[in-house]
Amino acid sequence: MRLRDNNFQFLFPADSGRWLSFLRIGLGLQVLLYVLFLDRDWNLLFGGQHNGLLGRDLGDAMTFVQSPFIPRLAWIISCLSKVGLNENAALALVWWSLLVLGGLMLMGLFCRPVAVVTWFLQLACAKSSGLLSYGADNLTTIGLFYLMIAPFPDPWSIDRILRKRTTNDPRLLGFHRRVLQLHLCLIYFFSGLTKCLGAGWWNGNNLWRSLTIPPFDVLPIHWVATLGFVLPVTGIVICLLEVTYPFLIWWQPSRKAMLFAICAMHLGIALLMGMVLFGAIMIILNLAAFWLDGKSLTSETALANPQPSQHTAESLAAEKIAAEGI
Amino acid sequence: MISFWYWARIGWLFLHLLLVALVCTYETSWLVGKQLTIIPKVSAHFRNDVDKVPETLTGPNLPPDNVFRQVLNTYTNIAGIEVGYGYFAPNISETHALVFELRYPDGHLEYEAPLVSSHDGQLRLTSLIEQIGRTQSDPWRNELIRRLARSTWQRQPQALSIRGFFGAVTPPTLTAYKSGKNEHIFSCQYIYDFTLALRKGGGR
Repeated sequence: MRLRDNNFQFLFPADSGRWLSFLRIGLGLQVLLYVLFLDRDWNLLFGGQHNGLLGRDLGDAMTFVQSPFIPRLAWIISCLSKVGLNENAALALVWWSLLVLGGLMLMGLFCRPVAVVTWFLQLACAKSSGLLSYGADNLTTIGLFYLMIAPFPDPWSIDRILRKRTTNDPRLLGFHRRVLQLHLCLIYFFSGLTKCLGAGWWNGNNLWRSLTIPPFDVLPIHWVATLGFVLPVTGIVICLLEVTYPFLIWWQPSRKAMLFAICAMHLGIALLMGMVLFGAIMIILNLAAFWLDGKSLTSETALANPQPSQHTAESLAAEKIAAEGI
Repeated sequence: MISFWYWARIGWLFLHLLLVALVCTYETSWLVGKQLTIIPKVSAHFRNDVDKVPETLTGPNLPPDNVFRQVLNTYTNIAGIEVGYGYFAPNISETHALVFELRYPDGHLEYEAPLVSSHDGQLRLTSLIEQIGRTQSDPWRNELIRRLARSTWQRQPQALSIRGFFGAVTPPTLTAYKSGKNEHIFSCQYIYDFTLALRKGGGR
């Protein structure tokens, strides 16, 4: 019974919801970066056989084979063609919609519908671009999926101010944060494990290649060569950092250091390899999941979830007095 | 008393994370099975056993119209959990490149790679080229290169013919670079000749 209570309290810790505000703002920025970075290549990536680099029909077909119910751009373009919009106009509308939705998400206006529509459009773009999508798209979909199902409105949203609504159940906010935390632990564990299984991560070869092959060669190659002696150590540190993340991030004394190190690693990926969208989404997900606003998770949980045994007659009486204003 | 909705959420969390773990396990065991890791050669029997559990539960071998498979695929795709997270792992060996040779009416030749304008577009194009390099299917590789050739031709409509060179690029190792060998060695693996019909929307 006590074990069940402990498990329940682990999965449903009461939470203020500030993490959700951070996730929403972060994903709003991510969506804005996504559309702005791809502005010049938008039609090339998502255009059909006659406009596109690869042709959207290929990505759509690959998605359709997996399941006909997965959103894709063909749905949107087909619907818009019925009101007289051609493919280029429809793609421009999707681009502008994502730009506006990113802005609304940033402000926290119409949180739920904005999150749902943004998730739908981003997923449709990621699926229709097919082989031209990469890890950043996938992780953005994960973030938007969690945002879409999260209990809104969050504390820093305009929705909350305008409608004077609050989230009913702080435990639900805690639960949704817990899902994100556990998912990140799985991501890092398997990412670290597969790196550990590659010989190139132990001798610096993989890091050398990551930093010197186009288009990741942001740093001049002679700089990387000058720092060649640190590559094996850095490679090993990255492997260990990722594979130990699920353990050290929960341990109070190491949590801040782990969070700092993993965010520094992703900042490095963004700046030194030019993978800005990938680095940004990983930092956003990590900070939303584990950034503690100066309070530890354990103490936060303990404060919000007093153990059943702590409900003494005195505390219950004090609560009643406080609630009834006697 | 924990309400039904709390139990439902716990059930969803368990299934969701189980799927994430299964997809990742499947990918990791695939890498081990293909001898791409430092793990010594495992027996085919053991490999099959390891593969079976996630394969059965994530359903890649079920027929495409199987309801279980479609529900699972829909859910994993909409949640973004359909692929694992082995980025840059286990190894970064060779990279791949695609170059088109364009022949113009006056006989001169120009060499051009598929072109995008932004750095993020370049990252996506690199991802595509690497997937072309990894595929074992000739028809699939041919189709992807044909589409890229057509896109290049549409950009350069004056060209009379187009020839594609696809191959592996071996970058210099750190030791080689330090000894003054800063060469990326291109080994051509496939050559494609495209006719004028391709530009007009079809043909090879």
